[in-house]
Amino acid sequence: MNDDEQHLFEHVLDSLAIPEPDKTMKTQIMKAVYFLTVAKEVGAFHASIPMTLFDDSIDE
Amino acid sequence: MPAHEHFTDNDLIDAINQGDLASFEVLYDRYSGKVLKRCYFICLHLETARDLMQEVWVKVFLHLHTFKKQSAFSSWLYRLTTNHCLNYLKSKAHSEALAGDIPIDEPSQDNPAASIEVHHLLQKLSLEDRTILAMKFLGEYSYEEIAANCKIGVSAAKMRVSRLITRIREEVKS
Repeated sequence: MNDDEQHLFEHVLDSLAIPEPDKTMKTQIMKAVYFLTVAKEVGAFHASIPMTLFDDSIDE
Repeated sequence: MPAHEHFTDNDLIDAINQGDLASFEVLYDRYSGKVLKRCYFICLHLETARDLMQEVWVKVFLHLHTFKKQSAFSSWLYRLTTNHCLNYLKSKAHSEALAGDIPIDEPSQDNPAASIEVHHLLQKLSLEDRTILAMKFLGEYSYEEIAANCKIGVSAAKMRVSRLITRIREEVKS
C-alpha cells in the first residue's frame, strides 16, 4: 500500500466520525483482563501441586 | 502510570508479558480508537463494533505472548482485528443466510456530511468488496492472500482493489 492510498484510507476512517471508545468499555475490558490473569495464576498454582497430593487410590 | 506513557509498544508488551496490567491499559488507550474505527468499517454497526472491539482486546491479551516483534505491533493488532471482524461477518452471513439481514447503522443526521457520504459508499459495496478492502487496507494482506480468500486470481484481486480505490477516491472528491 503506498502513502497516497494509506492517506486516502485514513481519511475514509476519520470521515466515519466514530466516537472514541467510552470509559465503560475500558473498565469492562480491564476487568476481563484482570480475571484472565487471576484464572491463569490459579491454574498455574493448581498445576504446580504435585499430583501425589490428589492421589486417593487405596491399596487393596 | 505516567511513566508508562513514554514506553514504546515493545516496552509495554514486555511489561505486559511480565504481568503488568497498567501497561496493557496504556496500550489500550493508545490504540482503542483506531481498533474501534476498523471494527466499524467492517461491520457498519456501532454496537456490534463495540462488542467486536472488546473481543479483540481480550484476544490481544491472550495471544500477546505469540507476538514476535518482527513487525510493528500496530500491524499485528490491525490484522488480528480484521480477521476477528471478517470471521464475525462470515459466521453472521452464514447464520442469516442473506448478508442483507446483518444489522447496519443508518448514519444519523447529526453526523457530518462527509461521514454520511462515506457511510453510504460503504453500504453500497458488496460484502465481498468490503472484505477485499478490509483485507488490503486494514489487515495489510498481500494480493496473493486476498486472491486465495476470495477464490479469484491474483490479477483479478489487483483489478478489484484498484477499481475500489478509484471508486472511493471519486466519492471522497465529490
